[in-house]
Amino acid sequence: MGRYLLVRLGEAVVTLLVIAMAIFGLLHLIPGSPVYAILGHDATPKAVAQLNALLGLNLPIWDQFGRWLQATLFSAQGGQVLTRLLPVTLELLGFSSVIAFGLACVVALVQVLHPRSLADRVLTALTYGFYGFPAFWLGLVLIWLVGLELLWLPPNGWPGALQPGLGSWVVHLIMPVATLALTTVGGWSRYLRASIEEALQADYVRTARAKGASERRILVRHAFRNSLLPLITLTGISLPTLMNSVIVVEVIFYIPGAGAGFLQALDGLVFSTATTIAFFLAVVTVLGNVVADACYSLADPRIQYN
Amino acid sequence: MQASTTMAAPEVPFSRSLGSRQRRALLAHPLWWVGLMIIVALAVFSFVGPLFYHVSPIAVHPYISDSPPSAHHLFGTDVLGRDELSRVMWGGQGFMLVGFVSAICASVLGTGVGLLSGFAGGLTDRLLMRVADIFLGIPQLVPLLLFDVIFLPNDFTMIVILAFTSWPLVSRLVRAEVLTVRARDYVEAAVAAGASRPRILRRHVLPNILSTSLVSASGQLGQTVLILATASYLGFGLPPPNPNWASMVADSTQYLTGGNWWLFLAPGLAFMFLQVSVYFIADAVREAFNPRALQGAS
Repeated sequence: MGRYLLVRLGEAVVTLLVIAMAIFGLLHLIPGSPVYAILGHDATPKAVAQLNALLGLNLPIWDQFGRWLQATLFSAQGGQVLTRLLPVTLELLGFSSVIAFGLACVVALVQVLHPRSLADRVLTALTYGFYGFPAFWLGLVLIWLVGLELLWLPPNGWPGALQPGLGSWVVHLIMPVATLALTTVGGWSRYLRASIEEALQADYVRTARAKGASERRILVRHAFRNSLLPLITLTGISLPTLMNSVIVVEVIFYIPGAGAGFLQALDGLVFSTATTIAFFLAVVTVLGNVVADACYSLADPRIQYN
Repeated sequence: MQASTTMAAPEVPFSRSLGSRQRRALLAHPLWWVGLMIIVALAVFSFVGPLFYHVSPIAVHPYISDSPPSAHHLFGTDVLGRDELSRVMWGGQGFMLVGFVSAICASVLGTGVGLLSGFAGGLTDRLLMRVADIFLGIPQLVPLLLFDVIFLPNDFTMIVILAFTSWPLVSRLVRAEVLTVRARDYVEAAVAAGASRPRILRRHVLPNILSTSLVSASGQLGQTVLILATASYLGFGLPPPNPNWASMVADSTQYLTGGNWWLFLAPGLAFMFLQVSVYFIADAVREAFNPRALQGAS
């Protein structure tokens, strides 16, 4: 398994390198040249050449890429993104995916254990409904209802230096994480339910039944456990989509994470910051996928990678 | 399962169109009709509604600003006194048009890439799928917003950007299907009979991957509409002054503390109906065209 993970990590690094190149290429698509932007359009050719040399814009494109990548990864700015913004984003992504995973399991199990019951119908309607909620709208409805009308939770913000402490952290985390988990759980639970129902047709279920196992035991110990594997894969695949929502949720709830930083940079047309954050967001989702693969191979002892 | 497929094969007549059995399954699916009805209702509301409701969505009336829903303004007015009902109507137009057209473009592009990749194989295949994987591995919002800032958005560029960032999922699924179809006996028979590659592609592969393409396209619709809404919400999607549901929700956020619930409720609900109906249709199409689901049903 260790070797398999190494291979996957190597692939991830290659992928990230290509993504870095794409982002760098995108920077060159921006109309206009930074030199003229700095010096103005009546700059003398000599001044232009000097500034080009100063900024390294006269270097071969590969050198420029190297310098850019170095600046993205190792500069003070990259460090800030890594130490200040990304942890917040990771918190949101991590908590919401774990909670959505757990909720999906509960929902799917209840639905399969009691098909066509009231609980099944209500849950089906709810999961469809929340699935249809875009994160930005559910977040707003929660802010308005829970934060501003009922005054149960702070409507937005993030515990910073002003309000340290575990309580404040939890209180600020509930609504953003709920928004993310609720908008995600619908797709996952429906997938899990379908794969449990499929697993119930499998031979090992028939065997278990023949051996006299109770229906509940068959469902939980056999069908459900085997259906968790595809859900782990789905979770990994869904991370980029979930990250889309994390970006929006950070904006809605005024959470100082990488997503909000990305949008702030785009709004201000600060491309160096925007591309740095964009690259780190890609790092998170690509590595997240590797982690999901690792979980998968941990959960399924049958898998042998050579 | 293997046996049943081979046994059923002679009964299925060769046809270029999608199977009539699948079409019947689709038309018998309740979710298909519910979804379709909601979408048609929303389309009528947005496209036909303004023909009968002659209130400008952008005319400013400061003296009636911020009024809650009333008999005169059914959905209330916004902070500039613009009629919210009219704005919700108009807000659906560009939104649905751009969303649907880009989803179709993304699906066509994805099907094309998937066909090419699966059929050509080799280096082409590996390169294309590598690119697809990269797009699938990163949050779509990131390239979308970067493109959006660089190529200033209007309806057309928005469609191009959306299609360009959403094709990979369709292409992956189509490619996988092409690979299985290519290995079938009838393709080998066609090769043995000396059919040219374009002929095999057109005559044998394409008709057999259409249902996969359709299923992934219907799934793509929801994704594209959602990402368009999200980008518009963040201020990077469809440009003003024409309203759209997502940017209307975004505009309302500044007045949340004032309790102007009608400003985000109407466009948000409209979008939710659209999204849910798209999911309904996607589910119905998937169940009708997925042979495995069909087997389970019969």
